[in-house]
Amino acid sequence: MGQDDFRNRILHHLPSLHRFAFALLRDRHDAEELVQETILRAIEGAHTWQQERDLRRWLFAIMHNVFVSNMRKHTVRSRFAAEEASMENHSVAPPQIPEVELAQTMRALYELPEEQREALLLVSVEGLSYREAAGILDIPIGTLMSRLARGRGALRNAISRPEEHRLRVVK
Amino acid sequence: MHRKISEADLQAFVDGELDADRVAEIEQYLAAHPQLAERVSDYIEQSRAIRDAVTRDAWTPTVLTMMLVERLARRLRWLRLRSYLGGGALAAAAVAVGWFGHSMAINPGGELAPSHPAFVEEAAEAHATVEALALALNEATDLTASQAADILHSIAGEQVSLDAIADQWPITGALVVPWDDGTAVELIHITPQGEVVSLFVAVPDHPGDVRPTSTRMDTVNMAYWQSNRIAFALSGDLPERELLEIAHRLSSSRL
Repeated sequence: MGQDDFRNRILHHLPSLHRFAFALLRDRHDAEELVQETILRAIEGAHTWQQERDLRRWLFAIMHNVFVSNMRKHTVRSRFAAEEASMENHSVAPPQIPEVELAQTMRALYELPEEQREALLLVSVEGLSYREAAGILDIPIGTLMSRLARGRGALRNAISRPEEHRLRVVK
Repeated sequence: MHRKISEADLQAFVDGELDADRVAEIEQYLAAHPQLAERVSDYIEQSRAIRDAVTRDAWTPTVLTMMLVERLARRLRWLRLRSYLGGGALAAAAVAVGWFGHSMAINPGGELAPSHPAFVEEAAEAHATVEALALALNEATDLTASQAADILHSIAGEQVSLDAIADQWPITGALVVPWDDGTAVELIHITPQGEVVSLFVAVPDHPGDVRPTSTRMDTVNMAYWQSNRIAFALSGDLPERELLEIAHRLSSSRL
């Protein structure tokens, strides 16, 4: 294992951590701060990490704990408008999903309870297995699945979709 | 004949948590139940939309984040080394190089000689972190001297009157910084010329007494001292002599 191995491994997971933080906090500056606080806690608690343990899961679990413990301290601000504006101004659109639908999805995601949002982000965005995600959130797999189901159901209800798209999906 | 298809099965189907046989069963079931198929299709589309929305913007970590990454990597490397060596070998190594072993220098005779205590390197890094905060300094240094002293006390069990320091050396604030032996605090002083001078205060594992000494780490001038259980290091863009004078003054104050 080379000198830079740990550095490279952490750097590899950094974008995922920031993505998770951003999706939780809806603000780039706050997300960066959450990433920094996560790393600080990791430095302080490095002795608790076992070499055979997955580094990504460990860092995500720290971030989850920091987020949960900071939740009360965070001022809940309505950032939907800013978020929407930033999406509208973005020049590179993903190839298939229209901008308006992305904004709608994100708005609906942010309206979900934190616990459902976390479950969806870890599984749907980060591609973690149920076992990994449940481990990070420190909940049973059944609870995770129930949060996913409730979150997806609420998202589906919240997002109004164009009729033609709905018909196309049914085919 | 299908086994009963539950909501949990549908979620697991969407998330790729099922084995091939069960996937085939569910696909067959969905083909016969278009309403359910529509729901599953929506879930899959939803996941894709969320993924696209949150991964669309590239992110570049700030300098401070990168510095923290370096520190974490170094900490993990050190812990791995310690676990490889084991307690006994590590103790022997510690005796061989002494408390000063973290930073050996080559003297003119070509022999290894101790240069400065381990905490000095940590202090230099912490100072670089503070400098990297630059414009965000006011936001970052949100602790008072007495709050920082309380933190040190709660972490290391040592009472240090940082207020006494702040009385003779006005600070703009303090912040908590990590280091390899736990947590330290950093008091920030801004000179009339606008230079940032930081005072790193930590509780090392080994007590000792080190008289104020000046040194230079990379491009930063420093002055450090240790008084029994408390280690101090001043860093900043001031002449070494000036830092040393401040160090003498602060070290003689009653803490």
